[in-house]
Formats: sequence, C-alpha cells, structure tokens
Amino acid sequence: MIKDFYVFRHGETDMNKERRWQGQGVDVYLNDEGVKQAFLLAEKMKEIKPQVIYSSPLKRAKQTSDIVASVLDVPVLSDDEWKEGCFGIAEGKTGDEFKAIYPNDYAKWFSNDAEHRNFGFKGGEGKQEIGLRAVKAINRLAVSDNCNKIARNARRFNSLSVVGTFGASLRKNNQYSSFSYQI
Amino acid sequence: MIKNFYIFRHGETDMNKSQRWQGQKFDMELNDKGIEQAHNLAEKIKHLGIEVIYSSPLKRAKKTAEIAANKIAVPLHIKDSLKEGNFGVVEGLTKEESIAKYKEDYDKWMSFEEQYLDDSFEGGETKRQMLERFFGTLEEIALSEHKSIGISAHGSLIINMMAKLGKSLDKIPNVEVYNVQYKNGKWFAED
Repeated sequence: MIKDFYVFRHGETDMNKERRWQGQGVDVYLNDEGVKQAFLLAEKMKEIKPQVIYSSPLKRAKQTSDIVASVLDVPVLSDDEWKEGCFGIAEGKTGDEFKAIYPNDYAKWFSNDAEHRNFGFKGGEGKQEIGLRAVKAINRLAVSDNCNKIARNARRFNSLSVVGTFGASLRKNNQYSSFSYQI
Repeated sequence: MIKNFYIFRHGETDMNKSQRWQGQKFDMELNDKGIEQAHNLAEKIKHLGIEVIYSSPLKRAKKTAEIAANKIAVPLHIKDSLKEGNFGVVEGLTKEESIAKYKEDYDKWMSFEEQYLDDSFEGGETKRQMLERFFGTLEEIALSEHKSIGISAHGSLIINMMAKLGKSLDKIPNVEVYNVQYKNGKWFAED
C-alpha cells in the first residue's frame, strides 16, 4: 500500500517579510500576501485532492490549512508535533541581529558538521531533535491513518527535516513538496 | 421615464467559500461553482429584456458579467466605480477574525443605521463614500438611452443600496438578482 504525503509551508507573515525567526514563541497570523498565497496553494491542491490535512496549531500554519481545507472541503486536524522548532533566544530576531550578538551560535546553527548536528539555541530545541520529532510524527501517521492522501502543514524547519530525510527540498512559502511513503 | 436596473452579485470564489472578506485587494477568480452559477444567472435574466450590462472590473464580477452578456448577446461595459467597497484592514479576514480584532468597527459596518454612514474600517471607504460612488455611477448609466440595464456588482454594494431603499436584507447570495427602478430622479427597490 502506498500513502502520498504532501507537505506544504504556511503563507507569508509580516515576520517572514522582516526575515525574523518565529519558531514557537512568535505566533502571528498571515499577512495579506500570505492569505493570497494560501488560496493559490488551495488552487494547486485541487488536483491532488488530499483527504485530510494535519496542521501545526501555530496561527500561520493553521490559517493556511483552514483556507486550503475550506476550499477543498476536507477536515483539518491540529497536531502539536508539527509545530516549528523552538529557537529559544533567537526567536523574534533577524539573522543579522542574532549574528551580531552570538556569532558562534549562528555559525553552528547553519553548519553541516557532525559535531553541530544537534545544536540548539539557548532555551530551544536541537536541530536533530526537531527533525526527529517531525519524522516520528509522519511515521506514526503513515502506519495509523486510513487515508492514503495526506496533506501536512508544517513549519519550514520541520518540513525541511522531513522532506530532507526523503531527499527533496522545500523553500518558499506556500509551495508544497510531495513524496510517497510506502508501507 | 422609468429605467429598470437588474443588479446582481457575482458567482462564487474560493474566498467566498472560505467566508473571507475580499473587498478590493483580493481580486479572486470565480471557482467552478461560480462559473456554473454565472451560466444559471444568464438563464434567469434572459427574458428580462436587458439591453446592456455594466460590470465592476474585479475578476469575479467581470467574469460573471462576461458569461451572462455572452449568453444573452448584449454589450458589456466595465466601470471602475462599480467595484466592491474598500474594507481596509478586514480584507482577507473571516467574520470571526474581524470581530476578534475590530469588534466596534465590525458592528458599525454591519448596522444599516444612518449614524454609521461615515464610519469605515481602518484604511477603507466609509459607507457614504461607497454608496455615493455606486448611486452616482448608476445615475450616470441611467442617462443613457437604455431602458433595461444589467449591473454586475458586489455583496456590500447591493446590501447597503437595498437598505438605503428601505429593504433590509440578511445577505446577498451569489448571482441573486435585484430589480431597482430609477423614476423622475428617484430610486425604488422592487419586491
């Protein structure tokens, strides 16, 4: 049996526009552009017809999911596991602002070196921890859910972790990456 | 001399389905259901003797008007001043989100009382501005030689116009048609 998962990122928020880390602590709604993007996403998803959408409960993701779900007439189930990573002291700051205060932490966050694999900002989750949380959640769904077309709305980092695990990439707001998960 | 106006609301968009304010900023296309509704509208109005259709330039109204005008074989003109009201900060929001953020402004906007005619959402038009723009455009169109005229417009324009003419309505469904008459410089809403 094959299950198809379509993972998409939420639409734009004012914080995205200012290039600020939101994480879990900065929980804001979409801006006008973000709402438009959600409707464009819904338009694209009409062809796919997922049967259910699992969503991060954070406002930007839930609002994106609600828009897509209302257009497609499918249910939205909120799932804490799909929250964005917690970025601790980096939340609310831009990369530049953070880098100016904590240049070493900044470098470790973006490093691919094995020794920094589970680096996390003070008060936040480790990179690997975030990724494992997402992978665990998608695995659980893959074996327990009856639906075989599942859309999931995750935070970017979370999505990147899952999608990265399966060898794809997810970058802009409102784009979805799809992959099949065979069980 | 009596001029008959048949004023209708556009067909459904995905944003209508999601129950979010569109206003002017969200210029959505009709969805499949909206296109079907526009065809049904054309059937409904084809025996009304409509000679010409004027439409708002917003995609949802324009597409509705194009389908109708095409089917009943009359000319179509686009008028910028027939576009939906500008709802400022609530455009893009649902009713619940608007109430959570701007309860006072929302209640005023939803009321048809005269005392709120000069209120608006932040960054938007007042009802008086919106109504003067709409009636002004209709009066200008009434000066033409046509006696029976179709207008492809929007929910807030229609509901507030009807209220002004003494008919309080709860909602304006997609592609519903409202007959109003212009007689000796005055407007009347037909039942």
